[in-house]
Amino acid sequence: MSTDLDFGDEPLLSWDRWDRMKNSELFIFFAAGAFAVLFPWLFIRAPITGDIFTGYGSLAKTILIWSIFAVGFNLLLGETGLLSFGHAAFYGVAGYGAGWVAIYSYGHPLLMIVVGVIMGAVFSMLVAPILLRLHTVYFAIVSLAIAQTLFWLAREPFNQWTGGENGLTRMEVKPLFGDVTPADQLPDVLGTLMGSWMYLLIAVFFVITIVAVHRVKKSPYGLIFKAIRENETRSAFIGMDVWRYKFASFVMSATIAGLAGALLTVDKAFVGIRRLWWSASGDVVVMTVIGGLRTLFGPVAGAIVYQWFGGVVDGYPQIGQYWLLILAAVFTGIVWWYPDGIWGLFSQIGDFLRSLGGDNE
Amino acid sequence: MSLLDVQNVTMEFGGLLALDNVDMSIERGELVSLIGPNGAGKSTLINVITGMLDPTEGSVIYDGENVVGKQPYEITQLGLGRSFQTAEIFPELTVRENVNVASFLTEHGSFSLNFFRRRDGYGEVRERTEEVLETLDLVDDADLPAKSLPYGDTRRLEVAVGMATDPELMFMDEPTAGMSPAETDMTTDLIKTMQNELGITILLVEHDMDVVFDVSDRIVTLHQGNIIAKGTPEEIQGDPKVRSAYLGGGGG
Amino acid sequence: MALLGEVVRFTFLSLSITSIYVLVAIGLSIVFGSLKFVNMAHGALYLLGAYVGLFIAYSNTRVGGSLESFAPLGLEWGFGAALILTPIVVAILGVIMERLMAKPLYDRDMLDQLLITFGVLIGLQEVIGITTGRTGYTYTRPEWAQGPIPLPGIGTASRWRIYVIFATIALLAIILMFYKYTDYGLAVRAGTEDAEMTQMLGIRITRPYLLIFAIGAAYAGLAGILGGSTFNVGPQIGIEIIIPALVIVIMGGVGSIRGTIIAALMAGVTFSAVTEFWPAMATASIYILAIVVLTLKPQGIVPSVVLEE
Repeated sequence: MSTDLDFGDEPLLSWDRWDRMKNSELFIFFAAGAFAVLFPWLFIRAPITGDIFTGYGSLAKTILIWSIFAVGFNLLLGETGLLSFGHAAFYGVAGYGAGWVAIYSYGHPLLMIVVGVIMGAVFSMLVAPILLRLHTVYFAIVSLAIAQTLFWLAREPFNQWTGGENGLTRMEVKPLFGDVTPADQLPDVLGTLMGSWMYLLIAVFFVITIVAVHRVKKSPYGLIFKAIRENETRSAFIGMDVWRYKFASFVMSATIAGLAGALLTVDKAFVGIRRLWWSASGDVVVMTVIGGLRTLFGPVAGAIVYQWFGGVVDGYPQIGQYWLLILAAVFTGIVWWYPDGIWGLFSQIGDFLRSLGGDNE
Repeated sequence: MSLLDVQNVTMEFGGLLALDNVDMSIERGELVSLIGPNGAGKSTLINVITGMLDPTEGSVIYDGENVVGKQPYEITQLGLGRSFQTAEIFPELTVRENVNVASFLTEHGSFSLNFFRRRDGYGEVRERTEEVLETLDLVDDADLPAKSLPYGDTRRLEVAVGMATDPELMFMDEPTAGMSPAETDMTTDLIKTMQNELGITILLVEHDMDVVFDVSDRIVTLHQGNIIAKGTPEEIQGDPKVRSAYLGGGGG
Repeated sequence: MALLGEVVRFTFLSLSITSIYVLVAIGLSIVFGSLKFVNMAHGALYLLGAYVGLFIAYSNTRVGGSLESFAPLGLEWGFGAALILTPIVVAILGVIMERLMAKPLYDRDMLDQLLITFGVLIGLQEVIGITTGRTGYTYTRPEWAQGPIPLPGIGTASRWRIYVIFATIALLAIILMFYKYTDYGLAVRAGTEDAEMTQMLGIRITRPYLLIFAIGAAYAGLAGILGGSTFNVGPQIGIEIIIPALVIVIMGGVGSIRGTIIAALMAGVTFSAVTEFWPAMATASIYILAIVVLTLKPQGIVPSVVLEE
């Protein structure tokens, strides 16, 4: 509870203060930033990742990109209660958009990202009229159908644009500024902590995404999204144009998915049809759910766990082949019995420790 | 001019005539009760008026405007509030948040909400919410999740949410269903407060005849899609058609 | 005459594809419509059917995964035995699935059901892949199922396709009769209309529901063998079939047997037609068809159940 540092009425260090502070935007900003900066360094050195360091630097980037995807996806699923099984469509479309900029125009990373994001957003606005009038389950399935259709279209009929099975490989990602390409190592301490400029780029967008989503959640839209999730009929009867708000949530989450997709293209200088396959959509659903649907950071935890399983555990002898089975079991269990997810678990542990510390309220 | 004018409304489902040439009106400030045995078409009529159903024929004139064909949310924004028979609330949200949603939508309509602005910054919305919470005696429970409330309280919350939409005309669908006598009395007082102090016009669907005769200015009786009687409580009490409808239909 | 021959061939092709889809979709649709339970794990029943059939019919020499050391593995009782026994086995598995997974979830949100059954499907897919290996298996059709049957005056048709089609028609007839003429079927139909009312009237709906679930499972298991022989066998075929199956169910109208059949027919014809000139887009064409249909009729072709939010 309080310590001997008493300033005025309220003790400086108190749980109440912490509770209020942790919801403030400034704090979120710094927390997200600190996390992004320290994450690769910690992750690579964590005992759970095994002996090989260098290989996992790339995994850190992938994790952060998926975190962005998942946090945005959570706006739609966790907040608004709409399950899209085909969100990889926007992830893929944006990825291709970014790739096309690099191939047919000038591949500056920021340009690639902007174009990719816009394409993802626009595509979502095109499919929204079809999808949003459908009942929840229909919405989930038809969104999957749309994504699958895109996959098949990208694989064959449009393969001169998409590179088909092989994807788009001949792209050149130009320097960010001066001589510095994304693949270059950051100077000094930053380099040790975070690795390359590409990571920094991703990290910046990560923090922006977290802060933006936090903002939305705290805005009237956030409350309305939750109302739609809780009782859509009632929402209409208190004067809500439900469709409009579903549209907003849908486009927002698709835009963020697009951001992730574009970032991936910049990172790998490659984009392929795998991004449109249902498993990509399934992956983000699993990550978000495992992490914890009703929270801001939950999906980040989910992304870490999922990618760690898929990227690291996968390589372990003996149990490696069980990674997806384990995750599927965890996922099922969480939806069934513990929807708060991993982040919820952390919160509960935190509360428990707090109560141990003599919080007598 | 009546506040609500239902003209020649007919609702046909397949071969079934749920509403047959229903004609009724409600004046400003009145409390009209809609009664009738089960299956008479009361819910259907409410659904037609509030926009959930489009009638096969007829018009619904609210404050001079025909609202047939409008979406429920548009009709609500015009001033028609509704409370449901089942407590339609937002379970995971707190009591306050429940009312807040309605307040936001009322104060700001569909567009002008800024999704980047923190919602604690909207003063008028907060005021409206606090007012409604006070009127409905929900201030003490305001921070509890709605799902944790006992049944009677969730019904009150339901009404609170409806009230936060600042309705001119409020539809209350069996508000005392499943309530104890004490709760029924509280609800009756609430209804009277809404009509007399807050100036809300009310259309009440009820089965509890004591409540109906207590609060109503006029009563409309529906039977098998037809209006069979309209009048003051005394007139309805004495009406043989009403009695036979209830005794014959076995409802009430 | 050549054109007629082509038409005949195409007809039988479409109908055989339709058959596989409809056998999977029908159980899914009825369970979705009457129990309001959306079951992605239904795809696992198809998957299990394909594999169970394999191990009943043949002695598989190339076994992957953890069972690798036990190869050759299988009962080698023949294709015919598999056709009869597999549906029974899968029906039993279906009962287990209903008791363990479906029943506890009937009151849950459909979203939760979707997610949980999705997790179960992936889990079962993994179990199959881990135990029997990731590479595919193939069915070899027995002699009595191979070859053409001459149709006097119009050409020939594949013997196998005709068997599949007639078996499916018979099975559909059975389920339709069950639905329309038996007490259990009536209970399920009443449950589709109003589950609460049915229960209040004292009709014990658990047993009819269980039976329907089991029948749907059996059909899906059989479809697994049929599909396995027509398409392929591998751990991913569960998910691969459930996506079009779900699409067909909602395109046809959840809970309506008629709707499901119509939708499956449309899907079968579309798939076959597109395979003729653009095989890579065949599956996608079903999706595009469904998107068009659902845009025009968001409740499906034969809306029989209005799903609450």
